[in-house]
Amino acid sequence: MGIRQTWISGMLLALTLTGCEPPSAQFANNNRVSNLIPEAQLGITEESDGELRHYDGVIGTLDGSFGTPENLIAWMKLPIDFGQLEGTVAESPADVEIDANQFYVAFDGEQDDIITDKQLLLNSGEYEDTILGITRYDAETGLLTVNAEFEDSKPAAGDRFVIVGQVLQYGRELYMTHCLHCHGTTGDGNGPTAEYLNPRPRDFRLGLFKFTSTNATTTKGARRDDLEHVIRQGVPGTYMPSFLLLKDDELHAIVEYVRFLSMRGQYENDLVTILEGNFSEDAVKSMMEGGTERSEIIKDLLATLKEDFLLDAADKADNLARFWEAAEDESALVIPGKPRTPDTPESRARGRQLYLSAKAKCTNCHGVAGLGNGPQTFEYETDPTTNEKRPAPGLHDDWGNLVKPRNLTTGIYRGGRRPLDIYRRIRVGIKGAKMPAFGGTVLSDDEVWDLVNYVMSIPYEGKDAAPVAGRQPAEEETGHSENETETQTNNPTVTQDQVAQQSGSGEGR
Amino acid sequence: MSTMAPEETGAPLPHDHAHDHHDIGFVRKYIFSTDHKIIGIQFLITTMLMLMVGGALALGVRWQLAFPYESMPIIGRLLFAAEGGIISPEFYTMLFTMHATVMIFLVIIPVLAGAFGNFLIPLQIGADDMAFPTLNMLSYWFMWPAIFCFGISFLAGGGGPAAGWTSYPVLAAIKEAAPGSGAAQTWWLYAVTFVGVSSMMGSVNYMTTIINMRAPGMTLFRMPLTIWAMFITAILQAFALPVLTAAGFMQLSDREFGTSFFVPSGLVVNNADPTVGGGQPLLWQHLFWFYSHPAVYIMLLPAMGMVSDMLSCVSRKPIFGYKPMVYSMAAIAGLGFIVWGHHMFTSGMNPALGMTFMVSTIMIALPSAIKTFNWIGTLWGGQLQFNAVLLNCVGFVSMFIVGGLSGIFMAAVPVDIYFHDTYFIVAHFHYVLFGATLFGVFGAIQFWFPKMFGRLMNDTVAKWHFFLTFIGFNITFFPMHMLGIAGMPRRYADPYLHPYLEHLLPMNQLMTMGALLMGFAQFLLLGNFLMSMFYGKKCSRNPWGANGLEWTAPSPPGHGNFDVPPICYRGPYDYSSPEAEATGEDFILQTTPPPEMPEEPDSEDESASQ
Amino acid sequence: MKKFWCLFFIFWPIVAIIIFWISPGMNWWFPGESYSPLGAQIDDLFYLILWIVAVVFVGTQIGLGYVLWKGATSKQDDKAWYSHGSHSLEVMWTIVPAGILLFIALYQMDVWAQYRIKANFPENTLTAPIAELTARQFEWRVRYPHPDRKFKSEADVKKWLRQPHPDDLHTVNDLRVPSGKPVLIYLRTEDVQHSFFVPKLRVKQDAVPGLVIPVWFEVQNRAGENEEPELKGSSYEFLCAELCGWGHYKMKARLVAQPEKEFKTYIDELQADQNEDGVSSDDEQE
Repeated sequence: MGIRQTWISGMLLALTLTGCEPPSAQFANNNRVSNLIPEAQLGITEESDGELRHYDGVIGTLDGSFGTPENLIAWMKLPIDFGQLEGTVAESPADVEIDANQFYVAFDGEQDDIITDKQLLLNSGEYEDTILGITRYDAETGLLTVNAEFEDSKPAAGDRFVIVGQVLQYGRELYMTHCLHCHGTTGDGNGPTAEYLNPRPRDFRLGLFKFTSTNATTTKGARRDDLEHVIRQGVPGTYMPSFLLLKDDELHAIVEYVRFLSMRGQYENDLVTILEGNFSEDAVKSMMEGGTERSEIIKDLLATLKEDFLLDAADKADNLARFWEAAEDESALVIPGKPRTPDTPESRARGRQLYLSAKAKCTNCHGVAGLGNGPQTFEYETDPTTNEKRPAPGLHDDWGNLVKPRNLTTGIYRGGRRPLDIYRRIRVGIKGAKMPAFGGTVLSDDEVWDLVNYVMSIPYEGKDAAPVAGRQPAEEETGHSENETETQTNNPTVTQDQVAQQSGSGEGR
Repeated sequence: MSTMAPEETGAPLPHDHAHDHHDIGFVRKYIFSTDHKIIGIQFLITTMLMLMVGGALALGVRWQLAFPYESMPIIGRLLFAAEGGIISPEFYTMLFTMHATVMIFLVIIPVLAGAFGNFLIPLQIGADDMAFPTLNMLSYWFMWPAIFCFGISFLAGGGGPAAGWTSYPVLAAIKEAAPGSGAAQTWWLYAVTFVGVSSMMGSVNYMTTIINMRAPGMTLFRMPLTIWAMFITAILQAFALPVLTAAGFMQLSDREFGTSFFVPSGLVVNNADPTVGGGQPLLWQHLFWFYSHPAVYIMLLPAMGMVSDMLSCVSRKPIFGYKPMVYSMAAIAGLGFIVWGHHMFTSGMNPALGMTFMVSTIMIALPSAIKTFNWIGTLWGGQLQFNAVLLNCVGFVSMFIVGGLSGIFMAAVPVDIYFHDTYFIVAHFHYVLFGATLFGVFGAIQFWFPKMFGRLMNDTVAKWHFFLTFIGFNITFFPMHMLGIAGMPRRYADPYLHPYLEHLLPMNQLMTMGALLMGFAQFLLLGNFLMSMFYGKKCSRNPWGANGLEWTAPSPPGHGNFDVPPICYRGPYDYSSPEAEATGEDFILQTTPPPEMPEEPDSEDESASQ
Repeated sequence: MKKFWCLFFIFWPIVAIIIFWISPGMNWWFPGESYSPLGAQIDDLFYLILWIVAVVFVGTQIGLGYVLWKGATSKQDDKAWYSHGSHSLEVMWTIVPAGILLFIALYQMDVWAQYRIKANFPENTLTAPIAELTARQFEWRVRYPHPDRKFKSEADVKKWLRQPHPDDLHTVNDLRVPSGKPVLIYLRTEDVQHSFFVPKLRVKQDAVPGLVIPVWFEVQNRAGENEEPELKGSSYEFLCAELCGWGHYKMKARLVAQPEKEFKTYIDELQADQNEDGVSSDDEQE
């Protein structure tokens, strides 16, 4: 008997340890938050006039603005399409029996969003300000099932209601299925799968995205289109796969949710920045060494939290909204001023010259042969946050990851392979990484196009890869010796001599 | 049913060898024992524990398929709290990889060859122990390094091997290719090697014992079918295992020393440098399946043998077609070596080879069919004892019919183009490995438990266990045929991402309910086993009224097994024979001498053993 | 209780048969009828085997149920039938299944030979590949040859496969083929083993590292429920059927079969998109 009892009590113990309730997903806080003193993180509760009042610190303010993954907050200040559907309660047909938790509705406009599991707020009639959870919606009849039963009377026909945040919530659901494993609940690029991936998944919290079409001088932000492009096409050469078959509304919802996470991360950084100067652990320690009482500092903090902090935070929020709005602005979009220069040997040769020139300095990183092994990759960089030399030589991006300049011989272009994409990589740069933006002044449009033509020809140099020209007759044999050995596209065999020799030969269209 | 202790026949011999090791300590007697019975029981208990581990992993898999990317109970809270209990896809990959690994290498192979092979071979052939008792002990203790290595592989480098139990390169051969394939996959390979060493030691031992240590009069065609099955299995294992071990070492060196047996040049995995070297992934598939297809029969034949023995006993009737049974087992083993390519029909190997493998594969259904007909023939006209043993054996036959027939679909190459790597194949091998083998094992536990512990297991609990397991099993696995026909691929963490599979979610949820039922039913087996060990009804030597030599030994048999070295006078299946009726019973022990020649065993090697 | 167990063992095959019977109606069956000749042939072979298997299943389960029932209803003091078997029965149930199995095996050969043996490939498909399909973790990359590129021989195709060309057209997760005629793609992988699986067309072929495998199939002109007007063709989902890592299930892509004319238009559009410079054409952004 004893053995069986041990079994049972063992299982009970396991149950008590783990609990029965499923854990709820939580947003994680930035490392910088933990540098603050606990009071600055969590806020201070003050007793005045016999009443307890709590003044939020960073965490409370942040959660108050963005919520938790299971209870998102639509902060209307931010330029996000949270989704908003308005409608009216409709008359029920006389001959149909419906349950106590059902009633008919009519939406104001076309309604094709998924609203199951979303919340509905009645804002007129008997049930004004009642929030109901939608458990089912039948789009054909307009019959809505909610999570509450109406005992006596149902919402009357004509009562107005609104559903807010269904797009964001839908985005979160899709994010949980498609993106969470790598990018993490918080969008910190630290999901459970992340540690196995090279390069690491994007951390959205800096608000920076690498492959954008926005002018780097006016904004560092990314457009919705840029995010959509990356999600649809994937990022070749990384583990970001193409999600081409997502439907438009799904894609839109995911993009909005990613922007939401991004803004949350930025706002978190902003809030920390406000308090970091005076109320980080280090600052408080040095002040106390200077003779200030800790209680004084806390009093100071309370005063800040009561007023300045809120004002600063509001400012930061405005900036944040402007940051994202600026990226969406038409003027931020980079469009070449001229059509692409025809891809001639001459253009490529000019591109090659530019590539080697001190003006463009491409070779510093990408190397003379385009292998991504320029001298910069052997330098020890300085970490801007600690002002110390990095432990490993090479280039680091804003997230602190070691990044390799693109090996241009492989034919893999992470930001897209169209001439326009490459043009934008040169013009706009890669935000957050060391690829600078060669904006209007450094290189002219013609020069950029020459460079594009040259870069796009690098993978084919020295290989028997003659194009079948659409505009010129087919030129199968170009006079190169037949390359009979297995030539891997990623096999860096092109030497500088070959490059120079080939770039002049008639391989163009 | 009648029970009786056999009379000792002939003049009692001095039982010197039976009682001369009384004073070995507890450790030597029960832990580092060289006694085949203790080793068999050790194997049995270890594999039952591993069955629970493997089952828990399976429930994890089923949970994810029923509630994809929703909070997983317990595991979700412990490991994926930040994601709200949503497991990661590589964790799911680990779950099914380790489920298969544990079930195959630590449950089914050791429970058949290790537990029952060890326990039954000497007893059924009338030997006092295995030919190499120390080797036998080592074969058990080599399981533990394997279990240890598998255990480490959960913890080492990224949460477990994640390349499937087939460990196909390049996924398994390059560290960058799969998360958790860092150190974990390497430990997995070590573990498989240890399991292989353990099995190999067992095989050598079984072959030697069966060839050399049969009791006088135990001719080859008087051996119980269990022994035939164990013998053929041992041969299969001895020939096939070295190939897997060698292939395992090749993969190990691919991973650790940068050789390229299985890695072609120019692959870019996880943004690492392109691979060099001109290996061939198909080579691994050939080597792996050269072992693993025969391994399927290693996982089935012993159960077939034991079920034959049990069915004959519970029907009180000789086995129908003893020799066809033996020949068909030999045919399965022989053909088993030339059918491995049917795992590779879509792999891009030479299509002409596909045709050859198809013919041999389809023909292997023939001996299986003959065996099935013979089992039904055995039940035909029998005086059936409806106890848990019979139920499990009939369950075995019934499920084996399904598993066998579904195999024909996949043997047919064009149809396999569609069914390859869908749930149809998952249904097929679970019907064979669980439906057939495990029901056979459940029956065998019930049947030979009295011999192991001298007590009977509770028949009512065992019937409930069978009832619930059978229902749970069919709810879980029968719909998998439908999933396969609907084109649901295996090893998908979230099949419903694909619109044509979305409508299968409710079916998967039902299946998970079945799996939970089946999982909890196993506590009945475990409870029954443990309780009966200490509190079961005591029994005499031959509680089932069976014929085999093992039933002439005491229950449990002492060291050296038999009071008197047995002499075999007849086949093991002479139930209800006229000779038996003459004694007033419906069975006649193999040691009962025929009346016309009372003292002479009809074997040529009597002098050697006496 | 004995009879209960007999009924138990008779009951479940009946349930199994019923489930199989209702499955097509419940949509637990093939993902729609096949839209390729190969698929139709596979389905026919499947049904052939299904019928044979069903007969055997019913026969053996009835046999099993019958002997159980007989055993359950026999009286306690009845003697079991003392029999070691029957030679003629053994011969019968060896020869008959052997014949049936051999028939099944031989009957399958043709379809297999037609689709997998290179000598039987439809004429000219080997030298006119539609595309090269490259699987990688976890997506499908498609490379079409330039529409004007004509291959003279298989060696010529191999030369093209060996390396990228500047005028190749690239897409991801979206494979287009002309419908109503045999088409051939070359299948390869950039990293680990994958498998190209189009459930609705019953096409499956592993993509093995180090090998480039030609796969041919034909999508019929009738589109049925797969018609997607906005794609100007019929769309068939394809996915990966060989474990390729943690994201195995994510490799979702579509195969679009279009009439020849629409396919040409698509390739032209693709070419325009491929040369997109943001200025020359009007459709600037997607």
